[in-house]
Amino acid sequence: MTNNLDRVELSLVGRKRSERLFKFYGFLGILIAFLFLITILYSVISQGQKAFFTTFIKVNIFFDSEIIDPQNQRNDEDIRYANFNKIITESLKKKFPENLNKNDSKELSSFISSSEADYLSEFVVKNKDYIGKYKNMWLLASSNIDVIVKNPEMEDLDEEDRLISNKQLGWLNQIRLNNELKKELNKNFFTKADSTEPEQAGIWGSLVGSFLTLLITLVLSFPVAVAAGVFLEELAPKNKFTEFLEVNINNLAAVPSIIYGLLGLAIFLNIMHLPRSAPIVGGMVLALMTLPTIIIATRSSLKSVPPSIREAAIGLGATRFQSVVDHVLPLAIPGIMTGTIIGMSRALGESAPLLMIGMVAFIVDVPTTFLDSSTALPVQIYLWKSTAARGFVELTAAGVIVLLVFLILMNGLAVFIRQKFEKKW
Amino acid sequence: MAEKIKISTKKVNVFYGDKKALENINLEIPEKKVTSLIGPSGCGKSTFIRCLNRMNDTIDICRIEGKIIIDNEDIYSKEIDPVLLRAKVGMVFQKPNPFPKSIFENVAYGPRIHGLAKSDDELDELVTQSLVKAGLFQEIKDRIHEPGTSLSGGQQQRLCIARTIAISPQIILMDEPCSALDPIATAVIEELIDELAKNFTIVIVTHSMQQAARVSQQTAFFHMGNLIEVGRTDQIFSTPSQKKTQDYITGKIG
Amino acid sequence: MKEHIVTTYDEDLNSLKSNLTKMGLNVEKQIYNAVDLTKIINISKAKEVVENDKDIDALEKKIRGFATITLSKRQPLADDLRQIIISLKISSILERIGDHASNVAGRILSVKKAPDSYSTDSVHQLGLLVLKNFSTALSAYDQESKEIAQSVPTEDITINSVYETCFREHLHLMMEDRDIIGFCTQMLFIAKELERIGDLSKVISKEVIYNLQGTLK
Repeated sequence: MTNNLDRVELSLVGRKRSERLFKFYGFLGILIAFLFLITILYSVISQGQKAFFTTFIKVNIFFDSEIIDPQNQRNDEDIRYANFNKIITESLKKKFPENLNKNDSKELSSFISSSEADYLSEFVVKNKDYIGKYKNMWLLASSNIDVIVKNPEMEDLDEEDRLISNKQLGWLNQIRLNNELKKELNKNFFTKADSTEPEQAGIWGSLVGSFLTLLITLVLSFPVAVAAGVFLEELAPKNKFTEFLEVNINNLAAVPSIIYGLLGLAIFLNIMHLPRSAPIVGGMVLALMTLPTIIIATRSSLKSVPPSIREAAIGLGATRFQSVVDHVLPLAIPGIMTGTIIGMSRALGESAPLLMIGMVAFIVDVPTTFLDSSTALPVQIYLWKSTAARGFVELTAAGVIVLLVFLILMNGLAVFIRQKFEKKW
Repeated sequence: MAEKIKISTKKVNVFYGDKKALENINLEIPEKKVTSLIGPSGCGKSTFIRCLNRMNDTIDICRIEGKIIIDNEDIYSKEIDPVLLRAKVGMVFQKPNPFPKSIFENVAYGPRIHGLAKSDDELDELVTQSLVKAGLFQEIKDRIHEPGTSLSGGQQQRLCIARTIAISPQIILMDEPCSALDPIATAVIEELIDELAKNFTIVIVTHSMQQAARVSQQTAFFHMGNLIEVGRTDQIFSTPSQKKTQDYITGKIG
Repeated sequence: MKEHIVTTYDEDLNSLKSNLTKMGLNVEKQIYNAVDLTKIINISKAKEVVENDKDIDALEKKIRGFATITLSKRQPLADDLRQIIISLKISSILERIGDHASNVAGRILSVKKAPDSYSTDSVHQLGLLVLKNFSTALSAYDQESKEIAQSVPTEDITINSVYETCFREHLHLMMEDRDIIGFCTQMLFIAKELERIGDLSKVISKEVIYNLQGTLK
């Protein structure tokens, strides 16, 4: 008898050691993963948050009536056609009274963003009494200036690498000293679509594009997938054909997403001639991709509901369909939501299929309907990353932050729905 | 004794694939009485009772030969709709299985799907009456909208019984209804069976000889898929005519 | 006899049976001694018979307790149930038989001596028949035999007619010789006790038949 216990005690040493080791490795793994996460988040956020702010320069604008309205007619059209760039440049020149040659003028005028000319012309159209007068205005700085202001360490670089010349740096410091420089919330980022100029580029266009696309994806894939899952699991006869179907659906979930893009290109664009780059096409392609994931989650979730509930319903005289819809499906919702979260998150982040159907174009307008050309968040981020201009670096990181926030919100909603149904268990 | 026969099975054989589970069962079940089915595990009594409301239809490999006649109709003929049959023949299962909904919703489900109540008030009344008949109403009347799963085991089983009688079936099948319950809950259910027998025909599968002796008027003994003996309960348990029956009820190896 | 799955159940039933058989044998011994006393009066022996009745009573209590526990433990059905019921009944009957045997001895103690003019041994003969029938009833129980059990009531008819004869004989004796009326009366009482023992043996045999076939026929 005691012999047995001794042997057990001996075996305990090895067994407990294995368990301890495993626990240790698990903990270590979590720690490393956590460190990676912190590192990634830190690098993205520290760079991205710079893009949320942008630089403004205070300029005392002289609304020279000679340039704006030489005939003194106060005609809106004429005013709009006036050369406001010259107005800006002349006003800038007045900041630095030293002798400036033609090259200097050019360098000076590049301080302000090219969008400000239109901004000023609209201003004058609305406030014609400013013609001939002076006004201190905060104008949006150009991208290069903005970059230097956000990354002061770049001032120490050589002129070739710096983006702005030594002269421009001198002027910048002068402006700083005069407190004519300020950083404000980058409204363009949150309200505009893509642009060639970094300081005018925004994420809103692709955000709306992603939202519209995903809406289509959800509306198309969720009901179809749940219904398919219910049908295959509960109501279809169990024979070789349905088994074959199940194997195929499982495989479809693992197909590379670009294949779906090619499918969309062939069918939706070439055969059905739907508009290129539109959310409706993107949504349809992503829906095809998401269907298998949700079907599999639905089936597995239905399988996990105990058969006693089904039997109780059938025993009361419910039809098979009634027992599933009234009792089994509500209990399967948590699992289905999990599958939906996984599917939708993947759809949000996939750019390959969207590239195939043309959502890679340079879109400057914010889409308003499902048929407008648009782009999606991951595609926009990719585009910005591949652009040469230095100013897009911060924007890319900011785009990633927006993508992450979108993802978290979307998942949060699904988790909320899942919690609500789980309570009824 | 001019007993009206409610259910009559003729030459019933049941197969699971190639395996024969029940052989040549000829059993008559009298109306508004309690008939108990006893026998060792695997003897086919659960299989048999599930044939009576065609629950075995849900099992693909289960095949039935022979006739089961309820009220002069063979329930396995093509004209009979199993869904309709189950409104006439209710079932209470071994492990209480209330729906994860409120107590009210549990009892209301059957009447709802069959359209038995024309108004909300009528439904309320029906639910209340069923709970009263199941002996549960007093205990839960203040929490009728709480989940059915929050009740104790014995209460849950009574809820399942209330749910079944809410659709006013004529026959109630009970597959070992007390095997998951403690002795007091069991006694409450047995008392309920006594009451219910006044209005329903009851067939009960049980592992407890004493329970069968207490609640039923007729007992059928199954062994290895065969119906060995059927007769008045008091006779079966005092002087059974078949040796196999005697060996089983006295706990001898047989 | 088929064995129960639970072996202690068989042990309990066997124990019950052997205790009852033991009690039966003890009672048989009491009857034997009592009948012997009707032939030759032996005061010390008579005292012994009266004393030993206590043991019979104690055995009856023991059997009753054991049967009750077995009933509650095993919740027996069919033949097991009948067996335990009759062990309760038979033990109670045996106890009463024991009382009757003890009463015989008690009567002997009060007469002390047979008068010389008393010359009949019909009481003794009656006693021998009763003793034999009792033994038969015991055998019927022990061997679980229906045939043996069925012979007991038949023999009891003989016993009853022998009793009638014995009764008339003694009435005759009392009418002829007034001096022995007292003694004869006692002998009549003794005969009655013996006749009662005969009746009770018949009841035992009926219980045996009930156990075997489930009805009291």
